[in-house]
Amino acid sequence: MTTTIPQQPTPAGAEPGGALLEARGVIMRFGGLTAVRNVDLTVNKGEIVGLIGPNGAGKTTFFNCLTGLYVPTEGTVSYQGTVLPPKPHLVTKAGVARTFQNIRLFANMTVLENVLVGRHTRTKEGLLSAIVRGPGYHRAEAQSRARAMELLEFTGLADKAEHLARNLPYGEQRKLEIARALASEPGLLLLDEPTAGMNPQETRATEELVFAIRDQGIAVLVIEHDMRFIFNLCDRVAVLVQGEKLVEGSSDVVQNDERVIAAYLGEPFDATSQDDTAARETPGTDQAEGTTSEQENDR
Amino acid sequence: MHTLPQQLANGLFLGSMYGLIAIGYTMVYGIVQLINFAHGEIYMTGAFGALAIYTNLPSSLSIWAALPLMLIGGALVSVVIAVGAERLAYRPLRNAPRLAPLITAIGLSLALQQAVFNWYPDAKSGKRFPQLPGGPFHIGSVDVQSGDLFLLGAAVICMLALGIFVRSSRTGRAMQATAQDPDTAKLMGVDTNRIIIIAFAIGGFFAAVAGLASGLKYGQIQYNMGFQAGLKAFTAAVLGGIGNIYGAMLGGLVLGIAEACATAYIANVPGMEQFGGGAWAQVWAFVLLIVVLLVRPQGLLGERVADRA
Amino acid sequence: MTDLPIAAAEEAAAATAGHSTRRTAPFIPLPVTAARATTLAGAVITTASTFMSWTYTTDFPGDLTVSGYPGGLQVMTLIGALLTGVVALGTFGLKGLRWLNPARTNNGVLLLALATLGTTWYTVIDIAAKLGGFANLDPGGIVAFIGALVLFAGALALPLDRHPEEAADTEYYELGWFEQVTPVVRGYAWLREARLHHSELRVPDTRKLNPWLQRLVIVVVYALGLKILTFGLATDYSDIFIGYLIVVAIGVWGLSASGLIKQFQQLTQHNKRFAGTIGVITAIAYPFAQNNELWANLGVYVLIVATVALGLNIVVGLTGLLDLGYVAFLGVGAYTAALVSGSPFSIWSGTQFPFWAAALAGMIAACVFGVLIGAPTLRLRGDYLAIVTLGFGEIFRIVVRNLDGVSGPKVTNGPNGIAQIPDLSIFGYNLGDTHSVGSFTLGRFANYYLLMLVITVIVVLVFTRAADSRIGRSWIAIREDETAATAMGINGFRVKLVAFALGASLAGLAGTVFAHVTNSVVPDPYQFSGPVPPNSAFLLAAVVLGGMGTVSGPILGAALLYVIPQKLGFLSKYELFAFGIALILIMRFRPEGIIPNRRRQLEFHEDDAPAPGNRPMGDDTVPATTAGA
Repeated sequence: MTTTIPQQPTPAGAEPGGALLEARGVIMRFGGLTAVRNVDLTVNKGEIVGLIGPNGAGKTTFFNCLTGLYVPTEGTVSYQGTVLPPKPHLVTKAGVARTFQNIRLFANMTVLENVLVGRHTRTKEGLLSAIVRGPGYHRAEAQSRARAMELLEFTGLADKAEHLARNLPYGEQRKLEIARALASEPGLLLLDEPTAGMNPQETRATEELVFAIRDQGIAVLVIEHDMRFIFNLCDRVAVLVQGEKLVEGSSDVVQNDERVIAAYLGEPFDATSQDDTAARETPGTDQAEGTTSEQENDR
Repeated sequence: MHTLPQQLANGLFLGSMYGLIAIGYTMVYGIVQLINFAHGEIYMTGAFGALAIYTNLPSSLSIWAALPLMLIGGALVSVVIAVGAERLAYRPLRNAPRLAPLITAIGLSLALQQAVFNWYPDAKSGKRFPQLPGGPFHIGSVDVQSGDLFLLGAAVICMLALGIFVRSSRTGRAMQATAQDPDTAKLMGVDTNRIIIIAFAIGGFFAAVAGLASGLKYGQIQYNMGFQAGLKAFTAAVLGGIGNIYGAMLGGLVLGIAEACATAYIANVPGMEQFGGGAWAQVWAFVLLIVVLLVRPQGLLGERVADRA
Repeated sequence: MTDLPIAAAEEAAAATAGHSTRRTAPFIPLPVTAARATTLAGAVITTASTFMSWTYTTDFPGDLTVSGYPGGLQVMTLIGALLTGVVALGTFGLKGLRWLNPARTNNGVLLLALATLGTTWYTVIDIAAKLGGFANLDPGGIVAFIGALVLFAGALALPLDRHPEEAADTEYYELGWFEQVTPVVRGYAWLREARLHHSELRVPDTRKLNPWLQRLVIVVVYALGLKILTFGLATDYSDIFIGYLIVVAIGVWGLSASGLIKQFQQLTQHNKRFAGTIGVITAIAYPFAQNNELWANLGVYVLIVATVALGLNIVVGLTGLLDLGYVAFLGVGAYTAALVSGSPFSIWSGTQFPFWAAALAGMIAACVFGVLIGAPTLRLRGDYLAIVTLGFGEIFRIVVRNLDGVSGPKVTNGPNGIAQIPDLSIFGYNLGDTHSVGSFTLGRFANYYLLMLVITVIVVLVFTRAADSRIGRSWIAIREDETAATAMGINGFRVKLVAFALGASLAGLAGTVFAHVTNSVVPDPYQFSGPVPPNSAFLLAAVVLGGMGTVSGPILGAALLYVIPQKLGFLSKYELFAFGIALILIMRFRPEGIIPNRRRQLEFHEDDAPAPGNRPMGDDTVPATTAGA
């Protein structure tokens, strides 16, 4: 099926249908703490790539670097051959949309309005046209609404369009976040733990949803803890440990890689007999990746 | 009179006062991320508290004997108001949207100011404040009033004491921990509510010291003195890096000196002849605030403050 | 106290079918029939008493000595008693009267009875206090006193919607140390349960009504509103005004509790354009209905402060940016207009712009200042904006004072300001002159009232249209979660700057009219807090009191805050103090203001948010951004 794709130094964009997102040598330091160390990652068109790693491995920090929420200390992130500016709104405009680990919906807006906000970069109407309300405005607004409703149909939330986002059950809030991100018409969707806190049925539904998104030609990069979910879903998986990329490859390769098992899966059973790599791995805290000072103290 | 050393000295005294008030802003902000708009009013009530004690003392008592009592009275008023505000107005809103405590603070500021205006005897215009005898002293080319010396001395003592307290006491360390991460501090057994109360109390005490000192310095206090002073002190806190107590003092000094120098020398700049003098002092302080926010929003000693995830 | 006879409970449950979560209990345990009889008897007695003489002398404000028809404060009692009786009949389930109480609850009856009791007892006690003892009461006064009490007692015995009982082990952190004292905790728990419970008002769908009937209702309600307003303004004595305030304030609360106001809102939502037009026509009718320069003057100032408060609401309510120097933008507009007005005190005394050009200039000048202030601060945390705008408001006044030719360059004439601003003339219609329209005469203030009304309508349109658009959604998104908003592609800084500059421009626009209405501009009104509106504290209080993020909230808030101190002269000394306390109390107990924005209400009361799938009715029909419009 899929094979390991090494980090070829081919410039992205030179090869149509090839690399969509290319992160090169991304380093993120917070004061004395290096949360992400020299990570390279490529996502190709139409691919689902997984990013796994123990708590505190720097996955979310890396995500934040990709989406411009953090300015990486070193390294570049390029999308379709152009370097992404480290501003979240420009990254979204360029075609990379994301969801958040802890759901960040506009809780007091309706479901439909949430998705409409996602359309922001793909619409132009400014203040003046909103006040004058010419025919162009009505057309654009109607188009936006139609597109938003399509997305709500796609995610199965259409009948709740007028509900307040905060009143949705947890699983539907996750779906709404995805619908909102899709509204910005991305070429690449970044999902930060989309099944966190979900039951098995919901997880399976999310799996279906991600496949459906891929089938629409949108590449997906997903952070997840649920191994079964990741290995079912992804064409390729990268493992991040201690801010470094340990290994990257197909599900089989990663699943059978001893270092991964040691660092990630085997660790709790017998920490003392592990090799050098594993000994460096410390039990992760439950804090958000890479940003707490405990991490620093643990070393 | 208008020599550079004199202006620097004037700026130093003014700056000590701004710094003392700014401590209150910065400590509260550092711990609960709230700009306590009412802090200028707490400074004002401190001054009125001190004056109330003075007017009720036998007139035979010398000012030097009255001074400690005035300080205690002023501090009591300020601390009670500051802590009461925290307990009754701010604490219930700790998890409310950001706007709510800010609006509460504005309301509190208005209410305190108007309460003094309406109910403190004859406070509708300026109230005379006792002055320290002695002086002016001539140190080199610099004239210094005894009120100025009191202010400077009080500022130095307060800062040293605060520095030692924060660095070496258990509570001080708990305070630093709470400022870093309130939730973790709570998990580590720090009573964060107590820490917040202490921050408000220290801020209130310093404001009362500043209030007393400003009364002694100018010989007059007013019900609306807190507004301008609060604004300046906040500027000082931002200038130094909000959340940083040393920054607050440094910011106060820089602002005070900048203001004194701008008042004295801006008129000498070609084309700016009409913008010198005391009438424009506030304006230059404000311009300085805008420039700092543009150039170095984190302040002189602060860390990055831009709103990021 | 909380015991309820079983029959009554069943009946109450039947009357409120479908409200399974509702707990109903009367305060006074009486059979429901007895309670209803008492209520009606009270209403009849009280009504009858207003046709009797209450006191023998005409010394008391309003003539209460006449038998046969009510006068002065008796009118308040009469209205209160009639309303209570009628709404009570609505709850009794009589066919044809049910519409009077669409929410099918007695809470409204209790509140209306309270309003009646309040105004009646206020009157009786005021008579005794003013004239020196209860001996000055005629029998009518005593009948009224007792009748109102009977009415209120009857209402207390009706099954009322009450707060659900709390679990025995509920912990009350808000009591602090007193949590150790059992009697205090018990008492507190009792008080909490004694509260009336008003949420979840379900009202029937009005769309089934004949459309013409719907429109008729709207017209009648607006006309009634205008009548009530002018009646209140025309009261000559503060005694009568206080009685009026009691009836109106508690009465409106009662009508809202009985669902009538929600029902009416539903009507206006379905007939938005019609309701808006009628609203404007009603506002135009005001100077004709109250054909008196004094009230036209009041109307102009209310419109000015209301418009400016509405502009501030874009910044504070929609975008969540606290602007504490907003009045300075009004000042920029006013000074700009004054400078180009042709006033002999302007440095450009020769130039006289036509009004449209002056208005444009005022808007542009205010917008430029908005950008200058916003650009450095909007990139930072919101708190910085608050303090910088506070500083700007203060600096504006100082600069304007200093630009007098002595302390600084001569531009604004310093503290003396720019006087003798000529009246506006639009298409040859001089707003300073008195004009006759039919049998009405429109004086200077009436003219300016009509001009200001145009500006208010423009600002309302800008507000509603902007709020319900791409840009408005991005403002609200920023307010809700700025990080998520930027991750959705919103350029936070730019969008906030647009809101800030728009708010500033609208204030500038209002300022241009303000300069002409007052004939002169001086620095003093433009400060953070001051004895006369508009000052920034006043405007903020108006927005917060009325309801952040709504259209009608700030207008109502500004009108109340402006009119009440005007009518109650003795209060004006403590006005600012009251504003301060009000801000604190509102933030603590009703942060969504008088007219809640649906969103805001949920945001501020996280704990009370309805469970999923159990949304309050009417949500499907009310677009969030214009709720309450």
